[in-house]
Amino acid sequence: MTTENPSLIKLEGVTKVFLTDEVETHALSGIHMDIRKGEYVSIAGPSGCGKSTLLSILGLLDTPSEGSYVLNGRPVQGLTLPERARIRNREIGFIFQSFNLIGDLTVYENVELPLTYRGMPATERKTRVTEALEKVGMGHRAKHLPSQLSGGQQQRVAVARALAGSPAVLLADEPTGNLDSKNGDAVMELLHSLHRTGSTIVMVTHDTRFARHAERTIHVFDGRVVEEQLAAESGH
Amino acid sequence: MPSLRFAIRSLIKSPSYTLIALVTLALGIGVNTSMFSIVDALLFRSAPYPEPDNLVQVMASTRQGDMRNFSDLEIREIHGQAAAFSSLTTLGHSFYAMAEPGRPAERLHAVCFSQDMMDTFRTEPLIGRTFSRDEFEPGKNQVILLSEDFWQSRFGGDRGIIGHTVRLDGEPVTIIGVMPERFNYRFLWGNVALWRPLNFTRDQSTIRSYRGFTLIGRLKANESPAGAGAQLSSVAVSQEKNFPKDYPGMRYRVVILHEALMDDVSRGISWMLLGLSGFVLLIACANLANLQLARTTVAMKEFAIRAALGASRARLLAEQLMECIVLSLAGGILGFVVTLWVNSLLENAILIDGAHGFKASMNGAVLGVALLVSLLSGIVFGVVPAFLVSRTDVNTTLKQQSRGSTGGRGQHRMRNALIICEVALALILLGGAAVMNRGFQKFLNRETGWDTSHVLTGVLPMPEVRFDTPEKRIAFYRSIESKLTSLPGVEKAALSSSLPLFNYSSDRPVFTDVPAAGQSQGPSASHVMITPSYFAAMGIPVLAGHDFPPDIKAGDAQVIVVNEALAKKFWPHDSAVGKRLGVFENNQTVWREVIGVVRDVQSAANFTNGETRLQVYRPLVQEPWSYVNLVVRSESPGALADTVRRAVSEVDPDLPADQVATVRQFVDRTQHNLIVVGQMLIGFALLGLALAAVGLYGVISNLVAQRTTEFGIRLALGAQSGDILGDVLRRGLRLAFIGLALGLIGAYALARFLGSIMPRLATPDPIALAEVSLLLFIVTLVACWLPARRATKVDPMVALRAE
Repeated sequence: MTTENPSLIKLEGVTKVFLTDEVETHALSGIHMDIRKGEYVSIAGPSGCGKSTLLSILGLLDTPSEGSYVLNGRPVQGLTLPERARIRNREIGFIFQSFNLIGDLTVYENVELPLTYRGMPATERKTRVTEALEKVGMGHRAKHLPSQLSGGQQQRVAVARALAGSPAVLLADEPTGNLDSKNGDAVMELLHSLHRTGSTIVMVTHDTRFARHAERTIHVFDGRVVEEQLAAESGH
Repeated sequence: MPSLRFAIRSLIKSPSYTLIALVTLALGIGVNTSMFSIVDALLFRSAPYPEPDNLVQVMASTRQGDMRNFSDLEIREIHGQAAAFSSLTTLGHSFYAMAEPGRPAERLHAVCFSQDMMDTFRTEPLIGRTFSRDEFEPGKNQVILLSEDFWQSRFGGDRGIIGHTVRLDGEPVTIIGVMPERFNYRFLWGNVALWRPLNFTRDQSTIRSYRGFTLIGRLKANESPAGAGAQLSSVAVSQEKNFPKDYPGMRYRVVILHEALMDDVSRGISWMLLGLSGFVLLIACANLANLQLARTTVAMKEFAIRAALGASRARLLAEQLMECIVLSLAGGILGFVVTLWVNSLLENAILIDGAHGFKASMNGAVLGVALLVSLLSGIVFGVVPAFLVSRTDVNTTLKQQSRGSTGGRGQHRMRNALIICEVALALILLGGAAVMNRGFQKFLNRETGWDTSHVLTGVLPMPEVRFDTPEKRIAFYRSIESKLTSLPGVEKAALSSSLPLFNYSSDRPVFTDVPAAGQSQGPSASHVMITPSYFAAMGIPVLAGHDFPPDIKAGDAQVIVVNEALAKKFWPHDSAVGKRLGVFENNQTVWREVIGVVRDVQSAANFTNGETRLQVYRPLVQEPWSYVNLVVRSESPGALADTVRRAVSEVDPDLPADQVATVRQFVDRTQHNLIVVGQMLIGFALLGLALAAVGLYGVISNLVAQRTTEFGIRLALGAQSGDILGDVLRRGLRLAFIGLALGLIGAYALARFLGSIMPRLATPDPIALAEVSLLLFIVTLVACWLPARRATKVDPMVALRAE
């Protein structure tokens, strides 16, 4: 952990309560979290512990019921929908468990999509998309449709899409969940190499084997952070 | 039948889809079957008499045009070569004023026919008897047969009416029988009240051009219409040889009666309506194919599982098709109810000769067509989804469901094509309706050369028995004109032998140099006999010279007034006034001096003829017709109708004025069926528009539903609501634009077709097409915008939930 780096993500007392049929479900309770630039953090825990809710708040897909969230020095918990969309587009790169590529867009168009929403000129988009695809080793598949790729290849395209906009943080939600162990390992290696080049990565996983790839693992249980573990402590 | 069971279970499981599909099919199939039953009745239904295929009409054509009516002289010549006919009946239409003590005189439409009528039509009277041979002798025809309708309405179905005497045009005649309703073939007789033995007047018997009679015959058992026509060729040759100017290129033809009674325009309109109703059905099928496709796409995994469990491709295909066929047959049954409803509306709306009585066909052929249309609809909208299901790649489909990408391009192509078709077809329907209805409005408001808004017209057929000399007719004209002119509110009143409501009648060859023998005869001009105040009453401006002097007499010099078109044709660089115009009348040349030129007038109610005709006006006193029209000029002509009728009956209680109406009323009445056609087109267009809008809405909604995850992903990647809205709108509107472009081409072609059969009414109208295109665009925009707005409400969390 590089403590000299400034804080990128800072959560203080974040709570998320869902109301269903007048029953309050506390998905998150008093989460405090500080993630610095260049860190590779995994959020681990069993199913239903609240880690996906935490990731959706981190990705500005959802808002906390209480508490504050500062992203890259800016409080974001009270932003409007369009402002959150703009920050998602510029600051956050998503890598989903089920890749979430758009079926009727080519690999190139999928990677280009977030840049299009940013209003980036076509020439710059082309450069960025090409670089991102080369970085994940998928440059030769730019004209293919997602259905023509294997699962591992689709996830690499999804990583390229997350990278293309040079986001402040990559949020990976069970990135190996839909992959076999060989492809899963390859994707983890890819994330590792991205981290080595300076990317900040926050990965949600329930698989302790993959969680150990991160520098720091935050264990969540019943909506609370129960333990933080550095890679050195876990022996990785 | 496991497929049938599966189909019914599947339909019950999706009540919304089943309901929408049934309603759509019922409308599409119902409208189509209804149109088929109308077309069947109009074009294919035989005359309601025994052995109808042997019943024929004799017609002819010359280089001057078609001849459907003949003169007595011509008919006698035809009879000489009529070996192919077992009987040949001459029909003439007449109007009689029927007067009875204590009741107002009533003008009745009568048909007079020659003595072979019973052999030709082979129908016995309901009560009483038919005419005896003696009653066809000249002067012995004071007997009439009533139509069942008229017998019921005028005499309350009194069976004791036989032997009763009534006065027709002042002449006592005896009712000898009532013909049954089935004899009343309205396409042939029109709105007829009575039949009477035909006695030709002197003029009718001696004037070759007095072509007021139709010739209906019954062919001998072994004769064909073509053979009968060929047998008449010797008559044609003889007539052309003896009267080359009257019969250039004369040819006879014999046509099955029910085919002869339908003119080309009506035939064209009938086929057009059937074709356009087919468009409604196609839109309905495209809608259902889209809905079915959407269901199929959703259920693709289920089909893949079935296939994985061993269902054959044929079985999957059969199950899908069976569902569609069950649905379409049920839709067909409901459609039949729609057919009965639409037919009852149309039977009340369609008039034959201004009267009700049209019956749409409801026979085995119509039921067969309904069944066939239902089955075909089921196959049309079911075959594509069924084919897709049967081609399910089990492995890919099952894997695709667990993979992390949204649906691919191929799934949408078929639906896109169907939506494009729907929009294009809807625009063709809208375009046709708009062109026709705007054309109708333009037609009513167009410049006709005469003042159609301040004129009341009527008909005064004078019985030749009573008005048998020119002097008597002229005296009657003066009394009537003077009486009408004295009425309060009347500015001018006049009489004429014909009016430009349809076309001026009595075409005669005109020339400035007598054509040499064998030389082409040259143009014909309508000859209209008028009283001197006619131009003032009609609001027709005199452009040069002057009109007829008020005191012009029968024995004065023969003078004429011509229209501008005729003056320009014969004297393009000179004034026509003072020139002489020759006319060929009754096989001799007559020269008359032009004293004035008036503006061209166009027919107010004729949609089919766009040409400006050559027109010659003559003083009525110099050719005193027994059939005259009255014209009354007033600021409010509609209010004067009863006054005019009363005034005429005060002059002659036995002579009621007939068809007294303003020009607008006349157009509405005479073109009633065309107005109904326009309304039907609007109905088709609105139905097509609604179906297309629902279809587009359904498809875009379905696409939005299927793309929910994709929208979530896009929103997660930073898309704004506007991006999503724009994306959905772009997709929908791109299809709409392609459909609109194709539809415009189709609508233009339809307008051209309508214009070819009604040149004065329908022409390709850019404004009308632009208006309906805009309307359809707005409808498609709304149909796309509603689901697009829903797409913007997608929670980006679905991107994570898709895990």
